[in-house]
Amino acid sequence: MKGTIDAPVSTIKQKAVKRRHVIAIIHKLAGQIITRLFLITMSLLFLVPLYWMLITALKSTPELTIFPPTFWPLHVQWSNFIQAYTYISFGTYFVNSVIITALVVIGTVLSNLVVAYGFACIRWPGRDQIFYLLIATLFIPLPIAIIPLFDLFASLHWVNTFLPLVVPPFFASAFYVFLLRQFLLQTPYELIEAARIDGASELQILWRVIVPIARPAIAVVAIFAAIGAWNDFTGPLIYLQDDSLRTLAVGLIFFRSTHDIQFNLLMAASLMSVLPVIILFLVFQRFFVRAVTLGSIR
Amino acid sequence: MRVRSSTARLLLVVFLLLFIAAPLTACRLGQLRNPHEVVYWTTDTSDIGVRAEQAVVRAFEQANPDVHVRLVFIPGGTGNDTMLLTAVRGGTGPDVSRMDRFEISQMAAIGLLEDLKPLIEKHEPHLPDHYLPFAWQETLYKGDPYALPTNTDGRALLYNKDVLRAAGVDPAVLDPVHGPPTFEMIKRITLKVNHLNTRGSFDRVGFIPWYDQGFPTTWAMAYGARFYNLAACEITPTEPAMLHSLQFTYDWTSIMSWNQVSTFLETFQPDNAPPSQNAFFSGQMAMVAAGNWFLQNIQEYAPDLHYGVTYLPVPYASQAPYTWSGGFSLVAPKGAHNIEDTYRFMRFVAGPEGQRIFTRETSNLPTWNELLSDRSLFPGNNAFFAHLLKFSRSRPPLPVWSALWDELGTAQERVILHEASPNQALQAVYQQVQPQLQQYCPLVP
Amino acid sequence: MRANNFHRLNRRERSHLIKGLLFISPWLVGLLVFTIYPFLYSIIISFTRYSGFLPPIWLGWQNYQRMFHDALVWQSLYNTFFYAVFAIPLGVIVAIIVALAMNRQIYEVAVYRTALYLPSILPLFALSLVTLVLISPQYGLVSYLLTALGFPQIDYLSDQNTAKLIIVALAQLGAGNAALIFLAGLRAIPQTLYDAARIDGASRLRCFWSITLPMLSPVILYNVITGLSAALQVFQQAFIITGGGPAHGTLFFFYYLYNNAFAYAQLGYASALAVFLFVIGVVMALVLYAIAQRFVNYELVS
Repeated sequence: MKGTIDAPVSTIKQKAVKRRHVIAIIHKLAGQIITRLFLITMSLLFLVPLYWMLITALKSTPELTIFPPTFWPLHVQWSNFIQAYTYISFGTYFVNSVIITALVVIGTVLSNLVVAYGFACIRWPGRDQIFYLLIATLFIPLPIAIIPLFDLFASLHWVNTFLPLVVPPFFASAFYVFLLRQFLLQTPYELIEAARIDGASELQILWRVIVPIARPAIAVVAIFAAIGAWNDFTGPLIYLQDDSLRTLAVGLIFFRSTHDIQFNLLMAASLMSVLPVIILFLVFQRFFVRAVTLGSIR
Repeated sequence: MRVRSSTARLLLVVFLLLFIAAPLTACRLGQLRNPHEVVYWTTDTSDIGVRAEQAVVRAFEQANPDVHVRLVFIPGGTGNDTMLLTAVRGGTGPDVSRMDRFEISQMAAIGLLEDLKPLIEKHEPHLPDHYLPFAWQETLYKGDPYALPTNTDGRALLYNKDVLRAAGVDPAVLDPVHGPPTFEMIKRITLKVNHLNTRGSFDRVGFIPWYDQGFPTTWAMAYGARFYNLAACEITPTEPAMLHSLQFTYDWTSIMSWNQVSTFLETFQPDNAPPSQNAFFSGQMAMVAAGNWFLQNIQEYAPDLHYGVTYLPVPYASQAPYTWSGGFSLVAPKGAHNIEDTYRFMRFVAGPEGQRIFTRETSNLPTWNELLSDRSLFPGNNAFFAHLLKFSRSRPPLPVWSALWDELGTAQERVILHEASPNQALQAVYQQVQPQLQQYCPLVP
Repeated sequence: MRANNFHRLNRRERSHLIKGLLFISPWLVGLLVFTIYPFLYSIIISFTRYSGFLPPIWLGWQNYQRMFHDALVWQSLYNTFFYAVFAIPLGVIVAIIVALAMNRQIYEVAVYRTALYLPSILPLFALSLVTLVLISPQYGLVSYLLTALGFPQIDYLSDQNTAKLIIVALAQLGAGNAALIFLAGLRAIPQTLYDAARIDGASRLRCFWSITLPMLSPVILYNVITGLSAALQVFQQAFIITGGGPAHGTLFFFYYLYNNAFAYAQLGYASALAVFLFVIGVVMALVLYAIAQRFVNYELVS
């Protein structure tokens, strides 16, 4: 009569298992809900400045001084963007930013690739020691170089031109060299050696063999160089004195100090300055995470 | 290693081109300047200022058709200095710039400005005689002039007759015919005028010594301050006159504390208030130490105000009147392209023609002697300020005035907040600023 | 000696050496012109009075002596350290939290990752400008929320401490970058460790403290050192939002350096300040590294 004796035991067990199952599911659901709440709250917090920029840009001037502040404009005023464009020399600043960013990206990619190639794809005596020197220079902060560089550029008559901002990237920077080298080291050396044996010059190897493989890393370098140049403030502050040469970063700030400008126009201009970066990010998202895996964690 | 591949050669050529082209672009910009153009930077960016500057430039170009002036408006304040310094250092500075006179010594000391002595000797050696002596003094560094004075100003005590009457004080006691009022009298009047509302804050005050033109230097001049010792090449912030000045403000806090005054000002004249919202206009303040430009404000925002103008208060009875004056000038930064035409422009603007236009447009006072006797330039209460000029004292030229001014202001603040005694606060000023002056010793007058 | 070594290389090695040096020549030139030359120049100029318009005049140690007595130097150092003490730990904490958030196995996590990362690449000048709108005492969102919670309505920019805290808070928006690095660090922690701990009955919190944090310690160190370097150079936000005020309350060290160099044309003194900043940075980094030796766990990371 096994069945009759076992039956009650199995039901209890089944119930217990079921209960644990249900608890587990509730636990998981609760976890999911809590996590989602947490994520949503955090995301909202981080996005508040951008959101506020948007709604302020769309508000009409009287609405800027309503208390309590409105969370969505009562009257959406798209014309603010047009007004910002015409009232501020937005076009000039934008074009300057674009030119400088483009030149910086070109210089960064070219020079850092070449230098990283030298550190990664050619085996020469003393290479690793000099590379440690490069790493050491990563720790020298900017402030100590600012004044002598200004003096240097002043005596070259490069002040009030784009040159002090655009030329240094053509001389590589430790950070990007480091990044690229890490990536390039992953290319099998045999490939390079084989090309050499076939009679290819180093530049040919660089162009034909390495660049196709390193495209993702190059993209990362280009993107970060672009963002860095677009957001740069101190450089343009020091070297760009003429209003016609200013980039968005300093142009907007100085315009604000010399003219009466309402915050809605200012926010409209800020938003338009920020948009290119956002677009860049949305289009090239995957490269941002890739960037982290390129460099090793010390 | 010989450069074998054509790609390498191409790259090499490109890089070489870039580096040759770069300095060339910099040079090219310089050569494009019109040889008969004078670039003029000014910080006079108020509506009135813009009109005045444009009027002067127009007048000059009419009288000198062969010279073209490019008028550029620059933000004032420390931003202006930075722009000027960077531009001149980088070779893209203006030919002539407007500059506050009390900065001239400092800017000349660092080598920013052209010495005007050779030009003055060449064209008219007696030019200095035409200017108010104190204004000319401020343009000198080591005996040489580095600027031409343009305008000047003055400070006086303005009083609101209606407020005084409402408090039971006869405004006639402040009439300038009695000479300057004493600190004592002002204090007595203040005690009568001060009125607390039901919540215990002031809704009417007599006088606030640290408000508007009540700088520590203002009262120090009343006590006869010298500010520095030439022979010892040191600033003297702890001289008796400065100590008395800070003590005066300190003693005032016993009848009106900093907190009470701040609350009062926040209520009736907050920081970002428009110029029409002013405690003096609206009947909350009986007396104020103000500059002559304040008359223009009254004209625009409170034309029906019943007010009077008298000399600044003094510590002792029967003391001679005094005021202090600052003002602007024109300087030629180093690297000016076209020094002859620049000088012609400066001479016009800082001379009788330019100053006449400015005085008419801005109600400021001229520094050209002959203009001061022209009554038509000083309508209404402006005449009193013109009359004040003969009692005027000014800050002696020192290459450290920016720092000294800031530090004296901080010292006054600390004393008012009871954070330091006058002596301690002024000692700190000495500690901070003297090392900067030390670099320029010995000072030649 | 060097020449001998060179000759001891065979032809192939020699050719590689020349090629290698040629390829890294842009960096070498850059190193000389943009790093070594300015470094030495700064040190030399720091002993002179130099305005940029007149030849430098030798002052000996005067600039350094003046620095010692300069109240603004101490004020700006205090401001900078105040900022560092709040911003660096807060930055690490926020970055770890964000990284943990980004690490969730949720379907739409990419959306959250975007939201959390995006502000860190936005230009700081734009964020500074929007901060001005947010903290306006009368009409700003921040003031509105804080007064709703019962805090007094004040002008945050008129108090030295709150002004600094505003800048600290603004910096946290940049946590996205550090968060990505922490994320990679989190991913590198072997799951087996957690499983073993779970079997031993460890709670989630215990797992975090005893496994996650120690395994992340190298990344934390890296972030603290880079955070320190950034904190010592904080400048842009103060320039745009507060102008150094109130009463020099947000005059950070680099801001004071900038003023001395570009507003007062005191290049010698500013160089002395720069040298001082450099020394502070090096000393602090070394101190941090020494402290870290006790706490940082490198075992399973490499």
